[in-house]
Amino acid sequence: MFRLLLEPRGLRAVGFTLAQATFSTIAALAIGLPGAALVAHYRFPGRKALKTLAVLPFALPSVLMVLAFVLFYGQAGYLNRFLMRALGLHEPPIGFLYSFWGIVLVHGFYEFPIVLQTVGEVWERLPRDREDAARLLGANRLRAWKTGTLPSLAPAIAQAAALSFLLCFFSFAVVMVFGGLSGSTLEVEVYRLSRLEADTASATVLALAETVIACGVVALVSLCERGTARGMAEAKSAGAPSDLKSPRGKAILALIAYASFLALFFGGPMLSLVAQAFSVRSGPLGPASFGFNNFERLASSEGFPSALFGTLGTALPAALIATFAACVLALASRSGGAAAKTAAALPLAVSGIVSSLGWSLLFPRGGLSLIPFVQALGSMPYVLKSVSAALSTLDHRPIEAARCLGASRLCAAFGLELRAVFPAILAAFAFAFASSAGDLNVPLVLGQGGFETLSVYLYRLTSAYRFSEACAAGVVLALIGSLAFAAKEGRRTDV
Amino acid sequence: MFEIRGLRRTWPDFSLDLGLSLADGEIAAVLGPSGSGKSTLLRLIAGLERPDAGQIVVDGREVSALGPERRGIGLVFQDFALFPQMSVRRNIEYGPRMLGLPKKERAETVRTIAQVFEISVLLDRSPRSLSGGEQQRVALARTLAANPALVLLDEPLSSLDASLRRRLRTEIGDSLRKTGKTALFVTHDAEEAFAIADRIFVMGKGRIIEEGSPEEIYERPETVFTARLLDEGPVIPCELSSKEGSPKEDGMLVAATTIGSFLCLPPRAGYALGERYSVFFPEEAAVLDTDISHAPRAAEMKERGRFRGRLVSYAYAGSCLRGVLDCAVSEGGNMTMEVELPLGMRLEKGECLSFRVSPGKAVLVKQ
Repeated sequence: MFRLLLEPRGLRAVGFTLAQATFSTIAALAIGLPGAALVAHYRFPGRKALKTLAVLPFALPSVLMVLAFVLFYGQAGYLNRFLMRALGLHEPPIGFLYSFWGIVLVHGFYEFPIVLQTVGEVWERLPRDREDAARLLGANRLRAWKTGTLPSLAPAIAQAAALSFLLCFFSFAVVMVFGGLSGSTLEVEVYRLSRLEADTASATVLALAETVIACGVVALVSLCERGTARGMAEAKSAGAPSDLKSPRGKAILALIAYASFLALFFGGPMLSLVAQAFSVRSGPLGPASFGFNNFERLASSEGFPSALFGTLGTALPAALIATFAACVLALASRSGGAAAKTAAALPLAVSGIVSSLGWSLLFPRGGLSLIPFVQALGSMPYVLKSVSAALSTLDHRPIEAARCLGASRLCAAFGLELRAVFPAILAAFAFAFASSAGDLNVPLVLGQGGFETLSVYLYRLTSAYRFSEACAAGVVLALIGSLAFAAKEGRRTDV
Repeated sequence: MFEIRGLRRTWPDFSLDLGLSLADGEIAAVLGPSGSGKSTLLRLIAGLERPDAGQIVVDGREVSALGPERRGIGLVFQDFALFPQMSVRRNIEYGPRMLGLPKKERAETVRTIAQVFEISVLLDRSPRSLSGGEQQRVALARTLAANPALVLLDEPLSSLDASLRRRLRTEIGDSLRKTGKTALFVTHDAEEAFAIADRIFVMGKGRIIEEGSPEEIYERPETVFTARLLDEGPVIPCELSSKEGSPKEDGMLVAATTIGSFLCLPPRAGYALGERYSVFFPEEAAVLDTDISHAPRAAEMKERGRFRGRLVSYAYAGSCLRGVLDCAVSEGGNMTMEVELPLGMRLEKGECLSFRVSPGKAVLVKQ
């Protein structure tokens, strides 16, 4: 049975998965690291917004990202149309979107906020003394950075790279749409074998191979996380971090260049999506005008209402399950239950498709009720991390005082501790809700009897080249996801 | 020779403007409270910050326009800033390596400097495994191994515990003198400055307030700012009338304060009538007048150098008792000072005590 892994199809899938994940990670690092450097050193308008982009890879549905990139970089996309007009070309100059490099491009822009946030966060807290010391001992700027800063920053870079790699390794929608003839990943092959070819045995083999490799990457992620934490603790003892500077001279130019780059190549696709959703054309080549026709058409379409209810019906319970379980696990692992913490991190190594396949094999009659549980399991590691981080920074003296005043352990935990970290819990809930609402993989595998969520509906519209309706559906999906975050902000939380 | 001429840097809420010079081999301290601009001064000298104006001259070479790596200036950081990924040996070797010294010479430099600082046994250890004192010595050794023309030290002992700090004070001074390097260090700790430096520059609000030898600064501070910074005794506003402002015995001046008049040494840089002055004397200069078994009479209190006050509180302080005295003359006034009292005395709170300050123990300080 395991021979499949040595056959061309299996080998190709493993090779393609590793190659696209590697190059995508390099692209994410190339886009994210300059941003991390700017965020770590300078104070500028939009700095906070740039840092909060980190939630994007988790909260923005991948299918939405695919759609945005098709609209902007596609053959008939905004960029090609602009270049053809500006340069007087008859053929679109950018034609690599539906290829290996197209996948790398989309992944690079999808995952770069992780690099920017993870590395920037550590970098801005590092004291500059070691780098200054190296310069005063005769090193040039680059050498001083390599001696004084890089050793403390390397674990954070490795952590961001490993996490990006993992997310690209599991990428599904992007590869499904852009992979085409260039190849497909293990994740896509597992889906095709199990759902389209009904070859569960082969799908299981590839799923196992994928999970084993992912386990290694997850181990690397947690190793790097520990390294980052150690580096931070050491850096803390080496002095206070320098204050953020107001940019001057070359720094201003660097900021403008980076902002323009992001605005064009990352903001462009996002804006294209919104523009397309609200544009109305009188004919195929007619001029575009502003209007809500796409939304009207979407609302009157047969599948939309059920997809909307499907999304809310799965994402809400999934977010509730994930948040409740994360709170319990965070409290348990805080008092020494390291095993619980490790167990909660395990879902990171199992992709949405594989997890859905596994649960459907385990509970063949589980049906749609499995969807929230599987989605909750998928978002659990991130939700748990957020709640645990908030609990770890909590001042425990009031809780100890409450215990001395007669409060039971349970009463103190739920009445005081969780209450004190409520903003973090709310943020975790918002995150879990957004990530479940945007999830395509689980409902695609476990959805039965015509059941659809907005992500699935959006995917089908995109596959059918009904871009205008797809964009309108995308805006609705993005709004639903951001509503949860808005509710969190409304509570004046700062997490 | 090291010289700073008209160094200026301005921020919206702070400005630094000063000049100073050091002779070859001199060890000087910049003493000032937190926020006075001491560390910024070092960063400007080292080239880690750019000044708006001014010149920095090291051994006759103007270095203001050069990057920190080309100035020939070493800096020992407050938290040492050792490279944790390198052994002690490689940390010390870093500077010579950047200078392009061949391997043999580098090894020789490390060996010699390690002997001077008695850290030969630490060479193959990681900085992470060193104690605070050891890290301090390694940081100094690393800086000196690069053979800088000037060594800067940023609060060199502030991250160490009190007992180690006392021990290392003399050690640092001795090591620097042994190598013959010109050094400038900044500190907020007057004792540290007195123990290590040949000369002290007192700094406040980005300016050099005064300079002098440790003895001059301790015994004859010129300004109220320095006297308060030293925190060694009371600073009492006084009046210097033209009649009393003329030199008396041994060039001393009579200064009248609200608690009595004192025979004071004039400021080192001279004095001018009409300017505002205060009287300063170290706590130990005020000696309890045990001859008076009764409350001092008004006539006695007119005697120069004598003052009295009501004992507010006192506490055991090891070698003496330390009391707080309220010397307010008028009702509702407030003029408290700390005084030293002999051990074994029977004291009661609220009792009136009389003190005597010998002529020349008090000095006039400029407001």
